[in-house]
Amino acid sequence: MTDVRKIDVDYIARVEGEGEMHVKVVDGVIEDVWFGIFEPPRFYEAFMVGRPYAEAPDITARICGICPVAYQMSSVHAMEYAFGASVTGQLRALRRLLYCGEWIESHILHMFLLHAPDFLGYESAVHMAADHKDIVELGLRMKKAGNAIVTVVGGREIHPINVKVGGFYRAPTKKELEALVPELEWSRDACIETIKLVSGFTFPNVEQDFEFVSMSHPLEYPFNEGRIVSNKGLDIAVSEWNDYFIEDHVERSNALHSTIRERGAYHVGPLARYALNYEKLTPACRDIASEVGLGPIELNPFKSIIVRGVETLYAIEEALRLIDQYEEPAKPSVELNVHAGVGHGASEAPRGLLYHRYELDSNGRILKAQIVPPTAQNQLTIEDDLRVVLERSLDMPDDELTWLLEQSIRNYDPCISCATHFLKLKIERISTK
Amino acid sequence: MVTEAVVIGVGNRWRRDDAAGLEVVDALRGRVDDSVVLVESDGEPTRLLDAFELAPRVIMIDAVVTGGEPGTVHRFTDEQLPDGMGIGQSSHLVQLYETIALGKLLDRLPNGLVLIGIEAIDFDNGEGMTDAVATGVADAVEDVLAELAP
Repeated sequence: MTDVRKIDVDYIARVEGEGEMHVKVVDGVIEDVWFGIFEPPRFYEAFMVGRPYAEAPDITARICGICPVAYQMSSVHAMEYAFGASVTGQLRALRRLLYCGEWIESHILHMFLLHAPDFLGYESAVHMAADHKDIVELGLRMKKAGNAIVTVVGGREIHPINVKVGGFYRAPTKKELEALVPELEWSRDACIETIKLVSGFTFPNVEQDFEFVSMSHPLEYPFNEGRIVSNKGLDIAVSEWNDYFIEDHVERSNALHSTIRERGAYHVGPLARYALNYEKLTPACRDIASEVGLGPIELNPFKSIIVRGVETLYAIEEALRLIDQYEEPAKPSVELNVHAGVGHGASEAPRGLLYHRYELDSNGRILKAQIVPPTAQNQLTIEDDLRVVLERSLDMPDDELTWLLEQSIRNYDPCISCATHFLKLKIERISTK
Repeated sequence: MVTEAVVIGVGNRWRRDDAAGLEVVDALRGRVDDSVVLVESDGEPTRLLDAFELAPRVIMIDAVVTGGEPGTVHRFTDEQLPDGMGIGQSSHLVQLYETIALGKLLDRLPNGLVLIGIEAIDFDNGEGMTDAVATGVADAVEDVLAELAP
């Protein structure tokens, strides 16, 4: 007699946007695991064709309400690459500061409102808040410190409008930035407490032999500059992306899966950045990591919540350093020599590497756009994790298993889309017995 | 002037009818005085929680799907909002509903709120609302002004 067990989750709660998961187990053997995403970047790639280069940062920033800065940064770097422009000094520092704000916002939102409820056994942040008001308030206050950076440097909280190819429309004053310091200092201590708190959660004992991929810079923990490296020997310039990575169409979905040529799945995001750039963290980050039991490499995807905490601490300390050293630049942007060309840009979105490529005509109009978001890159790795988790947990009842599988997906903080937010959860169990 | 009310439009301009809440806020510019703060939101919960604190009265506008005629304008108080999916879904309802529940738990909504929902139908990628929803937006603007009238 055939026993077919099917778990279909058409919309995954507490994932930014929408996703689907389908699992099929036949007579105790996993036959099919599929994690699907709807990818708005495909729409934006087509939408940008024919538009001026200068619109790319604003248009792509709308792809995700949680990480607009990442989309802006990868697009401005790609355009500047095409025009041979170099943004240095305090303008470069301001871009790092803006990125710090986004990491704080995004990591805190994910840790406190989306991922912590999984570990504490609550259905949602609301259920968790009823019992742990103090924890939620702690997270909200830290997140506000990140929001404030994005507002002051980015010009507006949602879809910041101050970023332009070549720099900024307006540089903030020293005084405006100094006003951010007290809450950032408070957040630094709060973040250390947070790391201690989340490291006390119970973690499923899952480790994977990931190929970690992230940017790497000789002097700093990566945000928006460096080479693309992996723990298995990859070391390439951003402009070599398409020589080493492939995007494949996947059956059953209009999404594209990314793989490394001839090697397959890889992993981007906090665990990858941490493993590949551990030495670039501040001493305080390395100290707290070691205190809570993290080594220089962490292979358990469920522990990404702790690594997000360490990266948040890094972003807070880096923001404080950048503000301390800030001097108002003479001009808010550099001159551009617009000409035909191809531009490549990559930066580290909170959830992982984000690559942009543009072909431009002699007036700087976009002829072709390519956007490779982090979640598309992690999609195969997420499916691998689901398979490993399933194999160990097949004896669980459907509801517990669904919970654990959804939690596995949330390890990657997948930014599936900044889309509309319907939520329908369907579990279908088919048995031929 | 004392801030008396915050009017929050929720939506995504790049998902057709999902722009409805933002369009209402746009249309209100210049038609309300300084006692009213207008806020645009993409539904992100923590910023909504911050927005709730801007004024004692909170009015939120969003696209909703209840299966009714597109463009129909609904009015709910927070107490009428479901604790499940009973009356249908806003395009942001899970986040919105959870955020409203969080707002109440965390004392951000001492006077509750009013949600003006515009029945929507097309959430495809792209700009521009359906005609029925654009008409609904115009009706919702008048409804919000009536809510704000002394």
